[in-house]
Amino acid sequence: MNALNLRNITLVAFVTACSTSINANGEDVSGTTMLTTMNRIVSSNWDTGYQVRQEMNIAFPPRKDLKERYCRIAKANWFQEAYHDMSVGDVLSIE
Amino acid sequence: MQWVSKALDKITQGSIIDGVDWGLGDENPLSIVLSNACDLEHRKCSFLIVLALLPASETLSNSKEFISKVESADNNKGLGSKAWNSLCEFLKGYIHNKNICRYYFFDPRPELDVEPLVVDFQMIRSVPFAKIGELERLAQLSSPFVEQMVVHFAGYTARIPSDRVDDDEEKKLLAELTCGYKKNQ
Repeated sequence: MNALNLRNITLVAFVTACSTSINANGEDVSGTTMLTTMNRIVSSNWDTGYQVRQEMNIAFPPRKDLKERYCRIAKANWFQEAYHDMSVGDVLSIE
Repeated sequence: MQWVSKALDKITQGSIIDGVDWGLGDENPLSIVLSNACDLEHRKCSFLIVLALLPASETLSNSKEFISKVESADNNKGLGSKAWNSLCEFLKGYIHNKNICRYYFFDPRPELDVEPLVVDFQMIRSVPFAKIGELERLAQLSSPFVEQMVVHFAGYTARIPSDRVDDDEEKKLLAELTCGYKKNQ
């Protein structure tokens, strides 16, 4: 099953879910819960989710993980090996 | 001043993206697109050229230059006036990107909730264009900072090493260029 088919299936599933006011779990999918449902569907397959988000112009949720990731990077072995006690190199002053 | 704005509707030069595999697992840094906007627009790219974004504070504080400037610090990281001024001047050079060097500095806040970053002109990768759909656009480095970054990259990579004049020739040239001024004994 290629990404295009999976995307189409995802879209159909989403539209079907939202076309009724109550979904299979008995939840009311009107209003903001539609976006919550959409997030759940698209985040299950990142590639497809990205394409669907683009086409439906739905913003990605704000990234809360970046600070934590950069804390890990700063302490990572590869970072310390590459950058610790390394000269910043030649500097050409342009002022 | 805000360096970074919301992501545009397509990847272009200066796009800050996630999803490039630098081979570092969950420590993969974010990336910024270096590829020319025209090439991207007109599909003249086989590859997307990207540079890594690293934490500015740790990158600069790990450097030999920073370390040498703080070696006189006391146990409370206190520096004398001269050392403090020297450290600040060193960092200001990066804050204002007044030098062409290995790093280009910017602060992505408030658009991205992460500490200030540097673009590392030595950490560069080509991503097959077919994989562009796997990349997540997070934000956009604003103009004219994108153009400034590109000019800095070009200046950094185009440096030409050459021989230096020896000490004797340097002294002769200094004597000519100082226009009669001299150092008081």
